Amino acid sequence: MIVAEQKPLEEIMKSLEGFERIAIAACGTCVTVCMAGGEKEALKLASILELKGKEKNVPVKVKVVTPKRQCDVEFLDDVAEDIQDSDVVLSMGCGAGIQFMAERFRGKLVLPGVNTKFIGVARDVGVWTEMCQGCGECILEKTGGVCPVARCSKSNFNGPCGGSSGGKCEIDPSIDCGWQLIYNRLKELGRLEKLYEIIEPKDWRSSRDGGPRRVEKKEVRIDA
Amino acid sequence: MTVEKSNLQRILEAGHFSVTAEIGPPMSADAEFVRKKAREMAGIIDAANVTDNQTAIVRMSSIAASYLISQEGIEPVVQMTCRDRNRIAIQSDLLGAYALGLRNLLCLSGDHQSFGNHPQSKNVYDIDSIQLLKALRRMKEEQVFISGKPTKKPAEFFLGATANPFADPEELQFIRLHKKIEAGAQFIQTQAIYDVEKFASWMEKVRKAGLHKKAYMLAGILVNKSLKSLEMTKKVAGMRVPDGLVDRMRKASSQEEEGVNIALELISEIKKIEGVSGIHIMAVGWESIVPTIVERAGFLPRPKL
Amino acid sequence: MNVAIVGRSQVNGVLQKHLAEQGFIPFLVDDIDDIREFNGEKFKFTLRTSRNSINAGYVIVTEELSNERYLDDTPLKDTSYRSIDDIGDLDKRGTENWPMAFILDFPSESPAYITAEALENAARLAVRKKRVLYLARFMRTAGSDVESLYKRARNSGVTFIKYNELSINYDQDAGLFQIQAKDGYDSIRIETPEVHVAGKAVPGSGIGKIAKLLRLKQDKNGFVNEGKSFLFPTLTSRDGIYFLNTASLTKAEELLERIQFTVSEIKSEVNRIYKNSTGCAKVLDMPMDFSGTDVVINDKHAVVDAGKCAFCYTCFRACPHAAMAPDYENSVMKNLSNSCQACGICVSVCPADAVRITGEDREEGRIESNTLKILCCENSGEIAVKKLRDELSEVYGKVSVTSVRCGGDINVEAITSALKQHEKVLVVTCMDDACKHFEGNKRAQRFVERVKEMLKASGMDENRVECLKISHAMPYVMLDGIREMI
Repeated sequence: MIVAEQKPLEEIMKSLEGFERIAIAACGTCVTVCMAGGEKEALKLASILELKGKEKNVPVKVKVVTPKRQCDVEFLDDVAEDIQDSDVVLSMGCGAGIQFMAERFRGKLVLPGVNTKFIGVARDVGVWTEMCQGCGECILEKTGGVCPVARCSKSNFNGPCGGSSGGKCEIDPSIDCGWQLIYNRLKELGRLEKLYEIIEPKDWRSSRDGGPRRVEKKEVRIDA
Repeated sequence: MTVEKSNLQRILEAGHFSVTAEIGPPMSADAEFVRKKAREMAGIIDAANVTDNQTAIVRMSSIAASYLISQEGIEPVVQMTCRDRNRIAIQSDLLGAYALGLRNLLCLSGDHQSFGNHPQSKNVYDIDSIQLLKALRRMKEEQVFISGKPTKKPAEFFLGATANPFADPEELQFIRLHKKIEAGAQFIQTQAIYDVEKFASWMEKVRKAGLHKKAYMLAGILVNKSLKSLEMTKKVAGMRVPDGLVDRMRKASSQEEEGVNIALELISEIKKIEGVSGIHIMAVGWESIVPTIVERAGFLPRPKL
Repeated sequence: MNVAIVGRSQVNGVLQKHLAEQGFIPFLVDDIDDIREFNGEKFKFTLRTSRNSINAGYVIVTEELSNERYLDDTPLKDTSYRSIDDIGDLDKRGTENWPMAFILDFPSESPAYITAEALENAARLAVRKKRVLYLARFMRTAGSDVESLYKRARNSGVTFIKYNELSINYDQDAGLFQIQAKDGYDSIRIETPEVHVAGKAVPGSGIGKIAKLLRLKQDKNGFVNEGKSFLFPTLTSRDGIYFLNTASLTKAEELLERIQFTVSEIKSEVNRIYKNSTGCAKVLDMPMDFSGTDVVINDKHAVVDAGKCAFCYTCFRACPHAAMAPDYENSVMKNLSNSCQACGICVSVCPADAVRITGEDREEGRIESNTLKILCCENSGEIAVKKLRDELSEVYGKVSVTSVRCGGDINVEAITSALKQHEKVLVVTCMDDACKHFEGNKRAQRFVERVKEMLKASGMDENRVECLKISHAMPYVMLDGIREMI
């Protein structure tokens, strides 16, 4: 799923300074699961905002809404009334959600509440790691199911660099060397010969380097 | 079409034991700095590597500095990393390098930018070092770019790559060495060696795989000026420095002298190992000691071909 | 009713006999590797192996400890050290002038039978006027007859030394062991040719597998339910699953007592519930299992709002009693009420705010502005507060107390809500290792840290909230905490 991290509270508080009717739009899917912007987190923020308002004697009123997702417009329609009644909206959705909310609620100031990080998985309660970069052309068949683009710090395609040591990446000992993982996996699968094949330079057009992308499913497009 | 071979290539092909060193360009546009370093090594070595923004610290480009030293009579080995340039810039820069008369090229991945003084930069890594080697070999053999489009006068470099005999896991690193040579590496420069025994057993594997016949193995030696320098070297990931050497340095009356002695001892043992075709002396920050080392190791005079 | 016995142990036969005698139908599953699936809750456990599928009301896990000789993988392994039971023929031993060292160097309390043996032998030597030093990292505290053995050893003249750090060397030429023990303040050096070292009992290899499969909590040394006094003698983190551990036994008879205790516990609970649900008191008529029925044992338990649940597995992972299970049909988590102890940890960690405890009314409505709000757990703070009734009267008007079942239920929202009506909030929970719900107290501590962070980041006073971890026997520590905050 998309993994995001809540923005530092100082940043959020600063961006909401001076506003009295605040809507916090949590999101019920990815950011809920990675605990960055679900209803629980939104309620915590609302609480602290109201507490601060009380301290400063400003009548801050915060409304929390939680559309199931922010990337399908019907869920946004469901919360339109509460959004309209606010002076500013803090969206806790991922980068896609925030932008979509801003599109849908044109006249409203929509501010981001999270920093969207990566496509990743849950490793433990409260820990998520990056797995995929959305490069657009998956080569996991060649690397035993471990991605060199996302999990090698240098996106090497043909083996580790000289800095791989003890299975860890030279830039940070908490990062596993992607190529060590690939090697281990191919060895387990008995497909080590894959490593001898030279993987050719990647066609980066399929990734964001080729410009913002669009995916269409012809099967269900019936107009034009 | 006859390829103009570089001095280094001809020396190795003639069966001589090669001696190369390293020059680190300045963190400025100071051309005289580079020329001075080159002059110090005139006549002493067969070629000198010119590093490319090593450890991701911004320095004068390898190609520019290489050209400057070639003007002083030293043959350069240009270094090209994959960290900072995409395939367009790399091919473009290399065409220019060849046009300027530069003939040796070492292809590297390049240290990650987080180590350097501009960690905020975007890292490119459009292609990796193996893809680069293969592309340049193709350019020599088929006169084409990576895209497949032809070029009338291709860059035809004497291609090199690096290897680390002390990295793990061994099997994986060996596969990588094998791939580099298959892709087009004609010479290999190793990471600095301190543990001769380990290096010797690595060379045995190299010989068994016949790799020493496909590419020239040039053993790397780092010359440490002080105990601090040796201790810092020990901390670098992938380096293997035995504690005994650190003790020696600590107890020495003159650390500089001891650094030289250690280097000379290592050289004398390494050159006896079968399959080693040359020595690559890295005395970065202390290039002035190179003539002393080369002379005391008995490598003078250098062959003139 | 079926009771599943899981594990390979010599006590299985005895256990089966006792269960059968009480009218239960024991099912033995001794090939742990063959267990494919284990689900459910008390009264409705299901266990599937390759050969069959069992419904059981309860599970009893049996497993033996294995023994490791302590110094076997150290440089001292070939020296002349002895084990704790090797004190030689006391009559034939002469007068030795050196101090004899008994060493129990375990990262946790030693199994009781090892401690008992060491204490007995140390005492026997000391009574014969030998100088005996008993060095141990931990003095065994809970759960068995070792108390009297300690006393006897002390009275016989054994010197006890408790340490944090220990090192042992052997001087070949002198034939002497050189022991250095430190306790953080002092250090002691002992030289002696006679050292008795206790072997280490470790959980058998099957225990890790069983614990994982049955989702039982293990401590950092791999023992299930060891060291938690509230789980003595055979309870586990999971209601309905018992563990016949042997580490705290000193005599074989105690094991039999445990078996009898466990079986009678199960029997009286079944009787009570069966009676409550059917009005019938006859035990022999009890059904094979209660699966498919609506027998409800706990009326206070967690409830998941299916509309909000994101099916993220956070509550499943965080629940210390394995009381959450996935409902794949509806893609939501559901609470296993028979296993639920209503500690509230799931409520606190759920990112979708989708869990509530039944019958709970939150404080929302009531407005009482006092200076200090104490949010405490019923096992520590609440009891301490009751003990402080007189002392608190001086600040009575300023303090308001709300107690919950576990610190894990005192979450960020609860604290910030309290801060809206009170100047300060004091969160009081149990000490580490004493939390009945294993880590509810640590969760509370994290929540307090988060609130402090948030207060600081918004330019407010982070000292408005504090966290105290106490035992109910430390009311004055709490009083100090309260006075500091007011």
